[in-house]
Amino acid sequence: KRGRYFDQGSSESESTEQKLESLITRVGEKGSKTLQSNLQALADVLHTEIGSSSSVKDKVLRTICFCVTTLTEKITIYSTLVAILNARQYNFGEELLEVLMEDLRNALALQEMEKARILVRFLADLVNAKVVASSSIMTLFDTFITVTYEPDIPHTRSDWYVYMILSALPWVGSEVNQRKKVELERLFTILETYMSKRSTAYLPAIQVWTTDQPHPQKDYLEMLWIQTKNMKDNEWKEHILLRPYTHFDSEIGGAYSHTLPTLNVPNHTEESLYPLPHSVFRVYETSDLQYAPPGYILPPFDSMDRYLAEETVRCIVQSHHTNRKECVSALLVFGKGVDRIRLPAEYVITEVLFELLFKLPSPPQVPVCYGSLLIELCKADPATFPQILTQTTDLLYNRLDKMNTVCVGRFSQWFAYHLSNFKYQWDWSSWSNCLSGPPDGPGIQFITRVFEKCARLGCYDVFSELIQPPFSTLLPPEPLPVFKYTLEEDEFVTPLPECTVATQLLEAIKEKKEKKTFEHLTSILDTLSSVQPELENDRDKLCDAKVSLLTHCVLHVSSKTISHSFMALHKFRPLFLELAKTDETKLAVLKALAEFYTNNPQVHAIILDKLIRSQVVDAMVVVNWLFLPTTVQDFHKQYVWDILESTVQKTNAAYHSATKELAETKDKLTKVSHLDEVAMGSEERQELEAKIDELEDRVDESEKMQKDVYLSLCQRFISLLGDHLARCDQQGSDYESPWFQSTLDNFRQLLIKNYTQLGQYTTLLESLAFTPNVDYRVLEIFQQFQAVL
Amino acid sequence: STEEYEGKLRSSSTLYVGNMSFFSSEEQVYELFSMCGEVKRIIMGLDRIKKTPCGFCFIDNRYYSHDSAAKGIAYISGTKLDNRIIRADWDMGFIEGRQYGRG
Repeated sequence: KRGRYFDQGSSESESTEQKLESLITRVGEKGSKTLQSNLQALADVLHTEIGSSSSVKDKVLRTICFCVTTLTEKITIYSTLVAILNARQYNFGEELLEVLMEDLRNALALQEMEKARILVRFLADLVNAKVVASSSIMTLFDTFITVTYEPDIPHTRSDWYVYMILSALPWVGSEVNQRKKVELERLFTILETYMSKRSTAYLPAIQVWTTDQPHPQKDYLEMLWIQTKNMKDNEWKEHILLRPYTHFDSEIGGAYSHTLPTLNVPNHTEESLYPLPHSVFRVYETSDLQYAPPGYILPPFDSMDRYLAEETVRCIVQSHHTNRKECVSALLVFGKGVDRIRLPAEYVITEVLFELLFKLPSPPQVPVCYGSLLIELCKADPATFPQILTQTTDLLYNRLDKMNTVCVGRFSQWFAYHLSNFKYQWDWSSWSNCLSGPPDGPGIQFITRVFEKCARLGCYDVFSELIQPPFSTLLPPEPLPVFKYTLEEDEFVTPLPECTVATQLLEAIKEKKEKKTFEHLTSILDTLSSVQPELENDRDKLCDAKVSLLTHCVLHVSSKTISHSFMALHKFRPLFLELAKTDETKLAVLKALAEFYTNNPQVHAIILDKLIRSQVVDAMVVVNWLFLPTTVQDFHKQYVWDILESTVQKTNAAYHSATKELAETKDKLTKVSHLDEVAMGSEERQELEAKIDELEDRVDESEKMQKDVYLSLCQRFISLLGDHLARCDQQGSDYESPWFQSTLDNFRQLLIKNYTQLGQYTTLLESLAFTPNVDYRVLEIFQQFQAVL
Repeated sequence: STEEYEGKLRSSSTLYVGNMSFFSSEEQVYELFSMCGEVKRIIMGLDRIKKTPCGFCFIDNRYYSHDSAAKGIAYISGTKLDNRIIRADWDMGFIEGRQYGRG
């Protein structure tokens, strides 16, 4: 929490530096004073204090630079502050620029590209504040634009350097247009050439909607380029930004501006990573603004005002997301602060929050961040936000058939979470028309997902009581375990032959003495072949049957809570390791788990995670399980994709931690080698060398596992989707079933989400998975994946 | 000392969650806090005598550690579980015996 570090109150121990830090951080927050007098007063204090000692001055410089990149929505306020101080003391501006340029250099070198972008924007705004010379900012832009001439670089690199220019121009456009018209025109010509040559073939992979109706979903850079051109045609006018320096004209008008030191753009290397592109998300039309005051309209989608309004909201969320109350109050202040046009700020805020939530392949923060912000907004402004959210949910619901299924997943999870905070109140009957459609229609699928998540967040019994017919048919089954070896007879089911063995096993499992138990358990499991004679001559099948029975029984005795299950799995882990040695037998564990928790996908996934972590099964076995026909038929359900993601993440993490540990140990060895005169040195060195050998093996193993998992996933998805397409083509039926769409969308996001890992295997994937004879409708997603990078 | 205590809290990956309904289950807590990252284990606070849930729990986030726990505080604390506003805060780490509340 920021509050902790910048706490108010002035205890005696609080130093001047801390006080100043707090004042700088808070400038422009709503208070009794106007922004203008607030700024004037702060500048007065700072002017006096920075003269007192160089450490105070240093602190002030650092704090301003820190605030600029962490409270990005207040950039113009900080440039005004710097403007006043610079006008009074010429070298203050100079020193600040040195710090800023150093920060920018570091950000570019460390590939903190978002931070770099904000620093460039601040430098641009400092031209308005008469701190930076207009010629200097044009030089900086020219330096960036040369990146577009570099041969053989990924488009993400040149795109981002262009983006840094475009996302700063709205702040400084008017000023440089007056002073550096020729240079600006030249920059525009180069930008125009670059933009016209750009390909955005990846767009379908990262768009939320599969159609451009009613909203065109442009690539982020292309959209901003259109908005920039429109702003230029409109004499660089905008109506969103607060520009407090305009109130201080008399004070800063005569100040000297500084020339920026030159900046060298770091070269591209194989390791360089740049942000991925995204598409602009829109949901409202003018006729949708029912809850905005009359006359309030959204700026046109291609106007700079629209970008600036959205960008301000994004900046506020980025700055304050770890403190919901602060974030919401900043958002509401923004809404009231725009007074030069009638901006329906609540709609802009909501649209941006959904944009962030739906962002592909991953939202900037975990989805629940946006969920909890929306809840906070409803609490802070109960007269507006609940209505807008109801309306938005309806709008999104009505367009489900055109939504990327990965986003449908996030939408349903958000909605369930939201409802769980508002007593699950929703008028389901307004959606009853979906019930007359096919059972796998988008409406029914969505409500089913929402119900499942609600039943997990709330208590199943309580939630299911709230849902009336006909919607109650969409409720998930009660999440009870299914133990198929029960001896209790009823008129429909005769017990399985293994039941007698199972009963003995359960008795033995409940016994306390561990060592004895394991031998005892094994001997009981050995009797399986006597009740199932067909297993006697098939050792492999017998093994699978034993493991399956053991899994069922261990889960059964411990099904009371997850903690009980974890304890039981821990206790019987040696036995599992002993019995399940081959991939086939490990698969039998997962099959049994899936059978037992078929009605409880949540606990199913949690236990599966635990089995991976305790190394009873590995990621490859999970992949084998995923592509069993019984699992494949569930590919339109969320739990499968949750399991896949968690498994892939663990594989990545294993490789990452092994490489990291190896590097650290090698570092240590280098240090020890320098000390080898010391007697201790050689012993420690031997230890380290042994550890390095061990770690190198671990790196190799985890890398092989990672490669195998990705390759196998790609090959199996390709063959699965290819078979489906071939079958549909043969039957002449429509291939775009909800199952197909869900599989394709999730597979595609899996590729893009793991682009840093997959990047190194593209040649391998091309030769062993995405070969030219793969169906073009599947190959397409690989081409999109390559185009994103 | 206070300093040690604060140091432990800063590097902690354990959350204490309070003001829960007695009827909220371990599975529900998993569902809610998994949204912030992988949960390692949950220790439900139990009534000393009846051994039934009594409105609090510890969440151990050891795998993705401090970060997931911080998200739990930022995004989940102050929102509702079973219609009660729950509170999540840093904890020094669970020690056996602490699960027994006053009921």
